[in-house]
Amino acid sequence: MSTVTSTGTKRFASGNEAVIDAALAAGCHFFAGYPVTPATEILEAAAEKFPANNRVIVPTEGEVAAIHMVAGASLAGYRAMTATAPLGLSLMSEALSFFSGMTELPGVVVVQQRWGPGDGSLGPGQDGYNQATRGCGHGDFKMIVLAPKNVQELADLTVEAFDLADRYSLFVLVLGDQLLAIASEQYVVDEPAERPARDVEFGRNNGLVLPELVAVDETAGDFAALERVGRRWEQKYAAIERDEARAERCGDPGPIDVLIVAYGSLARIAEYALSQIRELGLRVALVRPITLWPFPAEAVRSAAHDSAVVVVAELSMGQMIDDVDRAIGRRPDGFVNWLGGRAPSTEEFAERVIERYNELKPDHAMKGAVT
Amino acid sequence: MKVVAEPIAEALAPHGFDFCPGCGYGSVLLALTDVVREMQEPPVFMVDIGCVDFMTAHMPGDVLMGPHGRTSVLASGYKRMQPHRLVCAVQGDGGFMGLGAAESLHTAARGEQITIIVLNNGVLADTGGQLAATTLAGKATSTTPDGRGPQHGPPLPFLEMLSLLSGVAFAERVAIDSALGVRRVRRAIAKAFEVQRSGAGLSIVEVLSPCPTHWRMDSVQAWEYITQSVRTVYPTGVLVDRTRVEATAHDQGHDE
Repeated sequence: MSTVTSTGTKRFASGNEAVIDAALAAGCHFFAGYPVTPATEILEAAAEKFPANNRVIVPTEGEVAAIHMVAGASLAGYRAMTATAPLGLSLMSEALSFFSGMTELPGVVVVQQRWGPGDGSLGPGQDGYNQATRGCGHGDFKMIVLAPKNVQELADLTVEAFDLADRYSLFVLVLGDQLLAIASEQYVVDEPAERPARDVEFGRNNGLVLPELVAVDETAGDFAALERVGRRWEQKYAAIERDEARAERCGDPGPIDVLIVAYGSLARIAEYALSQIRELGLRVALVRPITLWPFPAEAVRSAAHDSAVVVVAELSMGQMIDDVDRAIGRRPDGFVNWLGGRAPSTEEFAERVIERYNELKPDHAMKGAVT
Repeated sequence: MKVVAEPIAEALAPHGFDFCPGCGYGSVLLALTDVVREMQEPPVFMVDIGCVDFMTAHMPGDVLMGPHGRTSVLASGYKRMQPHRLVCAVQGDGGFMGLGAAESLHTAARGEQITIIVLNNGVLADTGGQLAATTLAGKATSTTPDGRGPQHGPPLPFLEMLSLLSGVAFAERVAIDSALGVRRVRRAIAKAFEVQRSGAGLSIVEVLSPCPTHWRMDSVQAWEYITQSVRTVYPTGVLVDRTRVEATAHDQGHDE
């Protein structure tokens, strides 16, 4: 499956605006945020639409305050979210460790990736992959990471992110990129929905929301009790890995010559490039992880099983490739990437994949240019 | 002898205090518990990390512990969505005035409708008594063994700075250096909650609290140090009161 089907109004706007339409439809009542390219318009759309729909928006002094306010609103029982870039996610990491990892509050963060360490580039990147999928803060914790490929899916997965966050009591990251942020497309979302506060069970007099920690006396070193909490978390993450991993495969049925593994906007470019690669005589398919954590290892493994060559494509120096490596049990045969905030045209994408294929299989080298 | 404070059984549950002998935090907890037990619905507490987090197990209401220094914004987020609940952030000076200074400042600037109780013991006590934003000049700590010098800057007058902001409806500094001081802690906390109820803005109570362990003093010396040194840098009293809310009836007629 790739997308949830909405039955609401047809709209035409950017991905960033679609996020807020989706949040309203999902019954999100609270938004706090700080501007950062390329996610700023999400905050601005919230500032426009949240008050009009009787919701609360707080433009905070920074990402740190924003994520803490989101946690506070979530503790108050309401669906709450923020939006940022990987740069801002760095600042939010501490809070996510506390509130997603430890306290297990639900919440949603939309992260629009731009490339580079530090201030980096303003163009699209996918180098926030490791940060997002490894639990960006300290300690053993994971967040579900959803990777939409177009504006409709960005909207759909934003709605679904709230459901997943509630179901598993954690934060869900919707990991987009600069292209998804600014691309204007047609999309359909449901009308804004009110959602009453859920009951939040505090642990009375225990210091933490976690009921297991009620009787834990840290200073007495009750590590056995803390380990029981750790084991429960371990089981929760294992259940998510078992039940929520999701990918989409498209292109030629197996056996094939080349399998491309890519996600997000780059997967969409890859999808369009499939026909250009096919015209040169290669049987080709794309497997696109929709959840980055949990990584859809089984789907990638079975797709790779039928392919002579596996090529991973990323807008980074290679981050998802390690997960593909683990999934298929060997280093992927080829890797194509773009850096600096630059994304390829479909022609360039096809050329680079064929180039890589020709290097790997000189006996079957494809001739001719991509048209 | 006149009894000024009785131990409150519920504040001691589920096990004894983890505070060092002579620490002022237990007194603040008792004062807070005493104020809260007269309320129909207890406040929601957000407790910072530091020695204050030893209070979490004893808080007279629902508690969430948040990351160091960010408790005021966590509490603000809750309050925005539950405007009818009383919400109280309890922080130390390290978190409130040091690491979380930006969050504290902007919480005050926005005039969030919460109450913040800041326990100021002049050191980063939980980690072993290191230099804090509030350490007095010349005072030796484990990271300033020769005393706080000019290179560390003077102690930060954070409450004075916040009092300039119109969002701060009430700010009072009290000191645990006498039985009367302990009583004033209770009165200030009660007043702060009244201010919150009135919707006038942020209410802050800063408590100068002794830390004999890291000040390397006995309990009596620690009280004297507050009276003679700390209060000269951090004067006690009401810094700002933009409300007309009277102290609760319970407090009227006592002292002063």
